[in-house]
This record gives sequence, C-alpha cells and structure tokens, in this order.
Amino acid sequence: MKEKEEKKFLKSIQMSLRVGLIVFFILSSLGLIFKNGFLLSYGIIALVFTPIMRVIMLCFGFYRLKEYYMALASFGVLVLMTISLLI
Amino acid sequence: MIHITTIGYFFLVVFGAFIGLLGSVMGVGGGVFIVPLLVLVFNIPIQNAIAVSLISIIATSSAVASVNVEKGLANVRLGIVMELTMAAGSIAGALLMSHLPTKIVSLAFSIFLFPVSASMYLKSRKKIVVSNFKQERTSPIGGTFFDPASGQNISYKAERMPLAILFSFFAGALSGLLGLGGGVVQVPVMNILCKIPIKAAAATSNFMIGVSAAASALIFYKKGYVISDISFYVSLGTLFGSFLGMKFLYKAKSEKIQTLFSVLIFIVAIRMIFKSL
Repeated sequence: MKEKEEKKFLKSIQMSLRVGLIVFFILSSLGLIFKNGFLLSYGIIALVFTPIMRVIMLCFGFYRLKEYYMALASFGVLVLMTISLLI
Repeated sequence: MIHITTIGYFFLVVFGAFIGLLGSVMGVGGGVFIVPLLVLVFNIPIQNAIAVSLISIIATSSAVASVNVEKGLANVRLGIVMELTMAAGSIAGALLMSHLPTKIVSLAFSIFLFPVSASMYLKSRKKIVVSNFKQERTSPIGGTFFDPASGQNISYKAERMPLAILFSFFAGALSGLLGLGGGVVQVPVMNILCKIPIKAAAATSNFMIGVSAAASALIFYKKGYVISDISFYVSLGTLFGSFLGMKFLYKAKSEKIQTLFSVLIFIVAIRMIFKSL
C-alpha cells in the first residue's frame, strides 16, 4: 500500500515537471512562429515556474504520505522562492 | 539589440544539446560553459548571459528530474532537505552580488575546488564497492536504485547530513553570485561527504539545481535580463541533450562519471582562478 502511494507521489512530481516543459515548448514555439514576444515570454515564465510547481507538489505529496517534516521542508523552500519573487 | 543569424541560432541549439548531455550525466547545469560562450562568441552582456544560463539550467533540471524521479535515481527526500538551505543561499547570493567583490568569491571558490577534484579523481581510481544494505530503509534519507552497469540494486543511506546541508547553502550562494546551478558543489558533497553513489548524487543534484536556478532567474527576469529567444534556443538544445544523456547515465560505469567530473571541476577551478586574477 505504502509502495503504491509512493509511486503515485513520484508520478505526480514527474507530471508537474513534464507539464511545465510542454507548456514552455508550446508557448515559446508559437511565440517564435507568430513572432509574438508575449507568447515567447510566457513560455519562459512557464519554465521558470516549473520547479516551483514541483515544490508545491512535493509539499502536498509529503503531507498526504504523513511525512510532516518533509512537508515542512518543502513548504520552507516554497516560502523562500516566494521571497525571491518579491525581492 | 542583439542580432543573431540563423546559423547562430542553430549553433546555440547544438551547443545547448552538448551542455544538456553533459549536465544530465554529471548533475550540473552547465552554467560554467554557457556564460563564457554567450559572452565571448555572441558578445552578450554578462548579466544577460547569466540569465540565459539560469533558464537553460531549469530546462535541464526539469527534463532530467522528470525521468530520474520515477527510476529512483533522484532522491526527492534528500533533495528537498538540501534545497531548503540551497534556496536560502541562492537568495543571499543574489542579494550579496552587488555588495561583495565577485573576484574574491571566485578565487575562494576555485581554491576550494582543487582538493574536491583531486579527491574525486582518487576515488574513481578505486574499485567501486557496491553497498549491500538490506532493502529496509531505517533512515528517511536513503534510497535504492537499479544500476544496469553493475546489474545490481544499490542501496545507500546519506551520512553527515548537517555538514551537507551547510555546503548546500554555499552551493546556493554560488548560484546567485555567479549564475551557476550549484551542481559542481552538490555532486562532490553528496558523493564524498554523504557517501551517496555518484549516479544518485548526479540525479539528485539535477533535481535540486532547478530550484536554485529558478530562485535566481526570478530576480534576473524582474530586472529584465532574460533574452527570451536566445533562452528558448539554448533550452531547446539542452532538453534534447538531456534526454540523450539520461540513457547514458543509466548505463555508464560510476567510476567513469567520477573521473569525468573530477576533470570538469579541475577545468572550472582553473578558469575561475584566471577570471579572478
């Protein structure tokens, strides 16, 4: 049971990273094809936010697995990344 | 305004692919190669080059981690614990960038890299002893992965974590100060200090460097240093190279990766000494 949950957890991390990369690729490619600077920039922003999404998934995942210290560490990373966004 | 020809863009993709291949095998982002190339070959200002480098590091990290997490090579628990101080260091580094003399930081860093390089080289010469721990995991910071090169399941437990966490802060600070991912510090720290097998160390480093690069990239993006089209072409190449490199990492012999890494660290140390003089 625990192994199944762990696999599901790792799969969700994998998915968050892949979705970020796909969004980056699609938006940036469209931006280049249609010479749209905004789309290109949004693609880059999607890529920059991919690790942040991954940290959010880790935070929720560890919480669901009842690994509270790890969830707290993930939340700490998230707070620090928010700080860098505000600087 | 930076003008790059079609051949120039093609070269950026090819170069990015090479960096992605190198990065995915060794757990580094390749910032030490991307920044000088953009500055010296394409005449791009250093701040913009660092910003492009950080974006491509995120691409490499995300691509590699998306595969290695499932294979069990990247240790998410070890990664998140070390990311905590790494992210703090990254912010501190980005804030200190304008106050600290970068030359002194570069010199101190390069002097630190020589013994690390020597230690990794000596370790690669010894025969790798495969740990035969029982499959049970007594520590949350440990893991097991299948190594096709040795044909065995390799289990490990991270040692000396407090010291590794401290070094992680230093790796993060380098990311903010010099535009590196920090893998050049993280991989030897995990491999030598924490006794983590080199493949797991490289994969976990790749998993982590995306966070430190993103923390610094956000600051660079807000300052307007990111050049979107150049970032896209370099990242496209690194994505392609990363997926190729992962196949190599999985099958490669650990001692060869260690030798390659020790050479890389030596080159980085020499380059940084010249830069700081």
